[in-house]
Amino acid sequence: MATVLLSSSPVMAALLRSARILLRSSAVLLRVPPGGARPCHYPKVASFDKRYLTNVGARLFSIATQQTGLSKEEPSTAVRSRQAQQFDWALNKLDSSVRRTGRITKTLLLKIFHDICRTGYPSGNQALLLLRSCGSLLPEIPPAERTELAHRIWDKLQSLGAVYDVSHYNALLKVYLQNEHKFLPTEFLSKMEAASIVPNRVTYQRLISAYCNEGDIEGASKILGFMKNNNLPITEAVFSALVTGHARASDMENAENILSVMKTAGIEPGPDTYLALLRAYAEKGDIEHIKQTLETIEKTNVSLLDRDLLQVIFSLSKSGHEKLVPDILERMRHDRGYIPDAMNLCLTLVTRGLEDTAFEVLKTFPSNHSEGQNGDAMDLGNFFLRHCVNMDKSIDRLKMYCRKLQESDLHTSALQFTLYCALDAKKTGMAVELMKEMKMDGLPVRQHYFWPLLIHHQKHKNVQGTSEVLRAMQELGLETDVDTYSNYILSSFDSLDSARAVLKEEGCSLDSPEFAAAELRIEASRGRLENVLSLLSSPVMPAVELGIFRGGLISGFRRSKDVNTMSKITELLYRDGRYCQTPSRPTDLVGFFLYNLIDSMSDSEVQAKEEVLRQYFHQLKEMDIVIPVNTYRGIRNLLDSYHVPELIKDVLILVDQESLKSSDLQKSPGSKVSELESNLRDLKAEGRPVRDVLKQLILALCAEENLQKALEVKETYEDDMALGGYAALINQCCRHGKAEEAFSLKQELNRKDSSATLDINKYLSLVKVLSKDGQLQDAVDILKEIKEKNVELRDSSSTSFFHILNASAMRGEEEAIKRLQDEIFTLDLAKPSANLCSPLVTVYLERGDLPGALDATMDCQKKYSQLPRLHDILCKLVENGETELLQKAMDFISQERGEMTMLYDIFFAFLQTKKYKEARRIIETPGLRARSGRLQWFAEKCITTNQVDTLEQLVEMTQKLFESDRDEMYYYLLRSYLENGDWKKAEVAWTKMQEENIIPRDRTLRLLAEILESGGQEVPFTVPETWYDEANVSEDVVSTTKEHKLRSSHTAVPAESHLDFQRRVISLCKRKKTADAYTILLEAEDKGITLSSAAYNILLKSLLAESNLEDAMKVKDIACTRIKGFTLSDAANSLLLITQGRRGHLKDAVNTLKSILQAERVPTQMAITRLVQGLGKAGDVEGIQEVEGLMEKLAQHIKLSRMLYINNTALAHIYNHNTDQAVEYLESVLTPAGDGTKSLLPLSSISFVFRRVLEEKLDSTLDKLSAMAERLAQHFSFYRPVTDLFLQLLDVGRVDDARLLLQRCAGIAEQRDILVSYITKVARNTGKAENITALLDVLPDFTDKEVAYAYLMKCYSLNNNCSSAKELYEKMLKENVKTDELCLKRLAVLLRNAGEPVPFTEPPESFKYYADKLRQEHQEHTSSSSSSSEED
Amino acid sequence: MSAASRKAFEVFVSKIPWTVATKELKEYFGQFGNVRKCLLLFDKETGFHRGFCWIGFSNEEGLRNALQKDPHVLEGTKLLVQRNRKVVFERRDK
Repeated sequence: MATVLLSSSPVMAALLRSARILLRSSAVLLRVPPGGARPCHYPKVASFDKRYLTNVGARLFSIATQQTGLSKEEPSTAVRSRQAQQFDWALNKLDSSVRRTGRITKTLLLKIFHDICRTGYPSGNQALLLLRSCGSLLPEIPPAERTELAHRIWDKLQSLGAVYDVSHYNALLKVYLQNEHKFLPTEFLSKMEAASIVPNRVTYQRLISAYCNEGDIEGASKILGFMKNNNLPITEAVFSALVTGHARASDMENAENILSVMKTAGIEPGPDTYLALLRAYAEKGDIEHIKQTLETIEKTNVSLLDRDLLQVIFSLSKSGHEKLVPDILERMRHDRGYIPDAMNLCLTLVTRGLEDTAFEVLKTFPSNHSEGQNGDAMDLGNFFLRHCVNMDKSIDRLKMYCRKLQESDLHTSALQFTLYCALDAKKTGMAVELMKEMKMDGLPVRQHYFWPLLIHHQKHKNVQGTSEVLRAMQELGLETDVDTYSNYILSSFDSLDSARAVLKEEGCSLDSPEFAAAELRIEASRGRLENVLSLLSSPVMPAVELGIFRGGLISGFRRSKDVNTMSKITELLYRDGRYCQTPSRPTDLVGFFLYNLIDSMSDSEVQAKEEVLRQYFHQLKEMDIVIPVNTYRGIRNLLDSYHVPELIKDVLILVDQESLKSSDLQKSPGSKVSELESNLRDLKAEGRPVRDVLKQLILALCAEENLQKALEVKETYEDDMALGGYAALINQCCRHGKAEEAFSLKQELNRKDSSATLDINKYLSLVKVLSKDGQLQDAVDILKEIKEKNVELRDSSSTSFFHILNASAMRGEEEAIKRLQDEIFTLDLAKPSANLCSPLVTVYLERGDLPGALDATMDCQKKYSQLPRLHDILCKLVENGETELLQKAMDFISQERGEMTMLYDIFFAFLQTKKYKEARRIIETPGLRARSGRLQWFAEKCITTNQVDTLEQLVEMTQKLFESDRDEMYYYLLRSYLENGDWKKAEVAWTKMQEENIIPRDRTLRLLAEILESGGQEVPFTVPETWYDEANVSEDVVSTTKEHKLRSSHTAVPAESHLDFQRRVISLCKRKKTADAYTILLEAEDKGITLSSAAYNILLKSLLAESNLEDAMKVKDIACTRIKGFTLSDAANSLLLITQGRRGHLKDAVNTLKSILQAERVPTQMAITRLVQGLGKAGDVEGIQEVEGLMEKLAQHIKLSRMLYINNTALAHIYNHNTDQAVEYLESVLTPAGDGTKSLLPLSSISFVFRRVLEEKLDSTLDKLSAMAERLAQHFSFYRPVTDLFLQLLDVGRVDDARLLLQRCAGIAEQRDILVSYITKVARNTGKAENITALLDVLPDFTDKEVAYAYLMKCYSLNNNCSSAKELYEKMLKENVKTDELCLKRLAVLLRNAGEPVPFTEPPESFKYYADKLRQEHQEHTSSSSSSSEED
Repeated sequence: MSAASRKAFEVFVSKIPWTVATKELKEYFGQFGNVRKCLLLFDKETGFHRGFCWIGFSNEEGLRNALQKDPHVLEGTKLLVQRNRKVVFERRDK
């Protein structure tokens, strides 16, 4: 193999050059870390960095949300790509698990396995990966069980249609060897023969190993004979096996002799051979010979890795010579990759009951590993402790390990961690023992330690288990607290009475406040308010603070309509000192309670309960309950935002009337300019205060962009001007670039009120406009003011700072940049980042001053630890041949950031400037390892700038780089080929991947197939995808199928066995040659051959995917006659449903659904959706009802929105020309229920109905629907339907209608969520920028400009519309809308592709990076805002 | 009392060791100011907490004190304490 590679690949030859030329000038710097230069044979498929994983996770998220927007055109792609991505995710997880921990867990493997089974149609690659994972990568599982698992996977995947080739058989053999599974090699060979698979060299080698492991030299010789007959080369692997074989046959002499035999045959013994010999000695416990051999090895060129020595340790321990283990342990060099390998060994030993030896190995783990990333101690041996717990090792052993780890400072909290594992595994006995030990050590034992145990019993309502834990708690001296009682104990019982009885028996004190509070919580949250009342009023009730049961009480109140009981409970809280203990005052307590109550309800809930609440408040009033005015204001604001202003006056009665101000009564709604003007005049004339009205007028004028008028108003009423008015004016002046006016307004404001504070955006606008105008000192003063007044900064502020600085850079004002930057950082207004520092470098680069640029960036590093625009500088230096400066830069970087960083920087600079020879020298520096983040950065850069040549060089040069993720690198390359439509190069890449022995990820194969297909080439491998969903591109498929048919007709080989037929049917189907597959089936049928039910199912699906219902039904008939009880698979069933629906055979489809359900199978969501849509179109109202009824039972398994049925029922009425009935039906469904039950309201979208009606141009129907939507909005403040209609009108381009609708229902403009989600959907699905601009056009006051513009930019970027993007950017700057990094990145790429200059520093990372960043920020926002204020 | 001010003095704490619960956190953060709220979520499936919580102080001083301290070490473990992100005003009816 190696020789073939060598001769065909000059790259390899170059790589194998032993002499490495170090970088001429920096040889001194290139100190090589020990062990770094050694090659690494780490067992991994590929490596991934963390970012990759988060990306996938985030993508999953976005697709999940996409799916909920049902009933648009194409849910199938979403489902499909989710499946694929789920798999990718799992695969990555598996792989990174091996890389970090040397193993895979069984849970993970099974999860992936089940995922694959559920998805169906496992690819060969998937099968290979699963099989490979069933050997020594599962050290926590006994070997026999692993083999069993491998067999299970093998059979299951085969039944699902996986096609096995020789690589699969070889993988299975490897698993047998690793698991020491006994089997008959000859039998294995005949199995292969029966499946018509020809064994290859690897197969024979592994079979020889199998014989040799049993000491069966004779058997091995037999296989050796086969190999010789087939002219297969005998490699080192065979000789190594023979060493083992002789040794196991107790013939050490011959074992040793093998080495000289090899030499005679011209093969030098390598690491494998020596390892076999060492292991042979180890099994005999012959330490002398081990030492001798190790010395011999040192004299040769061979070098053993730590992982080899670990194998020797395993052999020693397995054969009972664990005493000798320390002798080997001391020889470890702790190479890279030692930790995961050693972890694997430890776990294997524990599994085999050799935990003491494992512990010896554990203790030798290098200690630098035990430091976490941020320098705090990381604990060693968690994996070991956990496995010991799972394997039920004795409690004494566990205690001993913990003690020793802690004594030797290897673990800070071994006991706690072990306890954690025991709790996690629900091992009550073990956990209790560990807690006793902790208590003896003086460590705290806390209530919540018992919760994992209790929660387990709670789930199973296991009273006995619960009691056991309670006893243990008492034994450890813990008094059960209120949380434990209410959350984990009481709910295990059917009733409180039975709980009391059992608890009493267990000796718990039932009159403790804890128990009482727990009872209150439970009763309240179950909605039994009468019981709460009687508990609270009972004289034996101990004192309990409201805080402890407030959450439960609120949820009880929300469910209740019993005003009487609610009021009485509230009165008790108010008057009974047990519940309102000093220092809290009853009025605060109840006020706060009411506020929390309202706050916890949604607006529709409050709307529905309005009357109940009103009565409740009035009763409280009658009880003379008073709440503080502050609390009232809070409640008022809530009610206001819920659109229930009528209720405000009912709360108002609870406030002490004297403390009220006039402004407390109602918030004034915004009024129009003219009204305000006259209002203002009147007030002034009457000599009454005008401040509020004045402010509103100024705001209104600014909103209308009427600056002139606003300034005039200010002049007139200058004495009455307040902060708000100034703020609006200043902002307006800034936007119009009027620096002077803005600044004088600001000064005026200062004179009036030196403590007045603007919001940060206005300050920054001021800074920007001032610095642009050259008023630097004023700008700096503003910055100082921001600091002095402690103005709160926003996330967007740092972007604004960047724009301010970069604008100066573009004007070439370095002094201004320095000054502002210094101020910003010294005042700590922003943290120095590469981006923020970059303008200072930009200014030099722009004028071609390289020494200046370099000094500037070095200066930044010294001051702020940032190296802005380093790559650009280095490239320029290399291009201009500035050796001295380059040397200076490199010295500096490696001193500041380390050699590795420097090497990457210089590597990329050489690549970028196409100095490939130099680049190669750098990347071949010994000790260098892959930094996937940096490689990705550069690869993405190459892809976006279409530097194919550079990218190819990058991929080639990183081949031998330690931990280089080859699949990932090729994936970048293929992406670039896809961009250029270069299938020829893609094919070359594919061959190279095989040479490098890479298992490509599915996405890589798919991409490759896509490139080849789009180049009109045949795809030479099975494309791993859920190909059966291609139903919608059937036309293409059909045409290519015809082509294939012509081509394949003369390549067809006569098929013999049923296996052959089966394989051909399946493989033709997968290659989308359905017609051919069908012909083969008919051929088989002629010969009376029965195929497997998987084959029938696969063919059925292929036919259905092409809408070929007739042939599909024939195949079904054939299958039914051939196989008794043949049933369609889930996927086939669903496709059948879809096809029948599409072809208008609706009655058949409904019958199919019935039979599916009868067979207890589950149709897909899409199938049902399509069917219901079909029924709707046919006007079949009853049909829809029938389907809904049928699906009810499955509601838990597939999530179907009720709106599916509702929308299509409405459409059915419409198609039956019963518009009135449709409207009546929809209105009855959508009208909020009066009884307080939550209606469908918030979730229901009837967009689908609007869409259809618009598409079919049923204008009279539309009018009626519109009237209905408007009614819902006006009567119930339910704006969803009318907003949906509005958006649909925009979507189909009926802008005027949309505008009219908006005039009638102004509330549409406030439906922020719906509008934003529309914008995101447009950007994601169609990229039609005009839809978004139309929306903004109609809604000029739209509040989320930032979001809208960001997505608009995305659309432009998708459509490559550079000029519009530029205009948008200018508009954003002008309107002072924040531009996030993703947005800038998009713009930068557009500009660059169009060959235009980029007027700011392009954000350096990839799109993905910024998208994730934004998403994460968003998630953090929502997760913190959605958290309720439920307190303990 | 509005939603905005309620979140204003909050820190987000992560990397909390499993051995401590609400009580310990309240005690610890009590040294920086009056703790008005401590929201530590426990997983309904496992019975362990999720490793992060929100601490709300009654006033800005508490918040500032907590943010100034670095590192935060509780029972030998370093906690990660961050200013809570600003709240996006989401509509409530989900």
